[in-house]
This record gives sequence, structure tokens and C-alpha cells, in this order.
Amino acid sequence: MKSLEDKPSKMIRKVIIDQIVSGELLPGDKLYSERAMANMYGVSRMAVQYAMIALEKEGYVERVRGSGTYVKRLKYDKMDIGYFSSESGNAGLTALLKSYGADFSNKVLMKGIITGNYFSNKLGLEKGSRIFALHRIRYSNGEPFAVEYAYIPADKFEGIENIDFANVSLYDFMGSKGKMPKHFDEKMQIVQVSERERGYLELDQDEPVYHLEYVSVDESGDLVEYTESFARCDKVSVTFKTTAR
Amino acid sequence: MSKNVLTLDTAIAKEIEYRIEVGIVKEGDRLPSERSLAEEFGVQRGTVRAALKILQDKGFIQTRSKSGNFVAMKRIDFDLSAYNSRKIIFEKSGKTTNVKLMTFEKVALYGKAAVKMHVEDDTQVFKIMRLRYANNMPIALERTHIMCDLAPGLTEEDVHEKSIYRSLRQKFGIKEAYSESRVTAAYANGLESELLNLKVSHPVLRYEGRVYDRQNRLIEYFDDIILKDKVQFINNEIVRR
Repeated sequence: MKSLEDKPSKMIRKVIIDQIVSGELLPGDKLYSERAMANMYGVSRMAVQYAMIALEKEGYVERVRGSGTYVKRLKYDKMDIGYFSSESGNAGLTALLKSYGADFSNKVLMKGIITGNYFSNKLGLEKGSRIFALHRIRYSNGEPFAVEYAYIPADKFEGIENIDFANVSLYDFMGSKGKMPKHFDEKMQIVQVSERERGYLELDQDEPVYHLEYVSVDESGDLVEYTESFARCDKVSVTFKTTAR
Repeated sequence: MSKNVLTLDTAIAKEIEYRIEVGIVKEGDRLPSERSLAEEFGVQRGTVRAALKILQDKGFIQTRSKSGNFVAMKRIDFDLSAYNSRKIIFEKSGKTTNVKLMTFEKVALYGKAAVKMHVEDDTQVFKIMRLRYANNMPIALERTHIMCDLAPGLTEEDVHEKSIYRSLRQKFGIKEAYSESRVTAAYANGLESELLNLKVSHPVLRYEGRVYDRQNRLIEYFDDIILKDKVQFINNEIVRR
């Protein structure tokens, strides 16, 4: 059986994903036409088409009729469609999954109500406020790429404790309550992985990992989420765009 | 503090993080002993030790054996929503900073190096390497490549202990408009570890990118190695009323 890597459309897919992951192609960028790509890479137009269909299915690009194919701008859940990007357009942080097949799944490690000064402070709540904690491992093709600890103000989301977040997307649920996260304050560091995360991320040794933290507000400016995420450096790449004033 | 859903060590680590964040304990302060913390939170010393390890891994505290645990230096903010020279970035964090010029050469790029900069083979660039200090400790090795044809006649003096962009602006009218960059984890090689006072293969942060002017011309390709515990990248969109 012919190795999948030999197929021209897999090659094109890999090239485009590499360009997106390295930041050469950014969300919103237009790709070359199918004909141009077929020429550039010396493959048939059919191969390019198959690649584009696969990329669209995986959420990396969107094909706009009469216009062309564009690198997708994030609309929903940060990690569900494989990458995470600021919507402000000009500046911001994008965390991309370096993955060639996007079969996503989650494992819920823990969920429940907590209290804590750290979290109340982040969410602009009074001390002792009820906060819903949701800890999940994020998988792509059965391999963990990130572990996420999300904290949501419980009193703003009735019934949140009863949702099955192994199958329901957190952002879909929040959107259904009219409080979809819209704007973010983000922070990124590279840190040594702690023992617990090392287990969740299935790392063999003490390695550096991305430590992403963000707070989000909904359209009305209400703080709705604080999330802390640890992502494997070999599976995720973080790129930025900065604009001068 | 609810004990059921968060593990004890995580909950304690978060509480200490809160105290650091709001300034109850400050940079350089010594944390209470393991025993006092265990008493305060009503837990075993082993639990406190686990919490402190979490804080150490994240770079919040430093353990000096015998002396105890100290709140680490606050990380320097690389703010993605603003475009500031390195000098300003460091000064905003309240650190004094200076740079030491290590090498300055004019070279022609070929092959991989040319591809990285998105230029053709044989393009001339100024290759500049500087060691940056914050509060007199080496913190980053800054390696930058400036396009010769945008800045012909750039000299060592222009980059010695000065902001490179200040020189570019004043001498050649170059103004940076936007940049695309990325951050990855790396391991210090021989030269990097020596200059940054690290063991060889110590984990570091690699920050590389390209800077463009308003006409979309490439001005610079940079590839810096930074001590990973010292910096963080932030982008704040939320307008707080």
C-alpha cells in the first residue's frame, strides 16, 4: 500500500499547514488560486482541490465562492477548531495546532464549584463567590496537546454544573446563554512542566511547555472566563503579530 | 477555600499566587516557612512542599537552599499591542537595561539563511549580536539582521549601546510598522549558555520574527534567545471601565 505521504494532495495540505503554523500565512490571508498552486508545486489541479477540501473540513481554511480560499479566522471555541486567535485583527497571539488531521476530543478531568481568592480576583467577583471549574485534556488524533483549566462565574450561567462537557463545547454553552467570550486579555510564558501536567500531556521528561492564560469578557463587557492552559511545545506553535501605533 | 474540587496543593499554590499578584508579598520577599504555611492552611508539610514546587516550576518563586523561598523577579512584559523598543519594554518594567555589542558584520545571505529572511541569495545584511542586561544581569542574546539596502552605511557606533531603531529612524528615516514573530522553547547551545551564564542545554525561550515598514519592506529579521523565566508576552484587548 502506497504511503499516504506520497500522495500529492497530502503534500499540499502539509505545505499549507506548515505555512499557517509558521505564521507565513495568517488568519484572513488569501491563498493562491488552485491553478497557481498546481503550477507552483507541480501537481494536478485535482490534488490541490482535494487538499483544499480536506483543509476546509479540518477548519484551517474557508472557500468563498467567487472570491477564493482564505485562512480561517477563528469564530468559536479557542481550541475546538484547532487554533486560537485574537479577533482584534491587528495585534495578538495565535496558538496553532501543528496537526495534520483534526480529530478533536476532550477528557474531563474534573468539574465542579469552587471558591478561591485567586479566581474571584481574576473574574472581578466578591471573595467567596461560586466559580465553576472545568479541567479538561484536549486531544487531537488521540494525542494530548493541551490541558485546560477553565473557571467560569457560576452565578452567571445557570445549570452549568449539569452540562456534559466531554461532548458539549464550553463556548457553545456560553454562547447559548448569550454570553459568548468576545474580547481577551492574554498572557503567554514558557515554563517547566509540573508533575501533574506532565502526566496529562504524556511527556516523557521535564520539558518546557507553553503556559497560556486568558481572561475574557462578553459583548457587554462582563467578565465571563478565566482559563489557564498548558500546551505541548512540540504540538502547538505560538505566533504573534504586532502593529506600531 | 473549597477543598473538594481543586487538589490541595493546587489550591494553596493559587492562594500564594494571588498574594504575589495583588502585592501582599513582593519581589524579593521571603515566603513564610513550610511549617508556618502548613499551619496556616491546615495541611501536611508535604502538601505545602508540592504547592511550592508548582510555584517554582512556573517561575513565581526561587528556592535558595537554607535561606528559604523567595518571590522571584516579576517577569518583563513584552506587550504585543504596543510597539516599543526593547529599551522601553525593559524600562516599563522598572528594570535598568543596557546592551553590550558582541559582533557587527556585513554578510551576504545564502540558502537557508536567505530563505528564513524571505530574501534572495546574495542579499547583503548587517549581522548584529548584542547581549542585553537587566539590572546588570545578562537576560537575552539579541541577534538581528538588518537589510543593507535600507540602511547603507550603518556603523558599529549606531548600534553600540543605542537603540537600533532610534538609529535607523534618525539616520535613514526607517519606521517600523508591523512585525510577525513567534516564540518557541529551545535549549541553549555552547555560546548562548556561556554568554547567559547557564548550563549547556538549559531550556530557554527563542523569540524570532520579521519587522516591516509601512511599505511592507522587510527591515529586520531577529532571532533572540531569552531567559525563559524573565519574560512574558501579553496582549490586552479588554477595555476596563
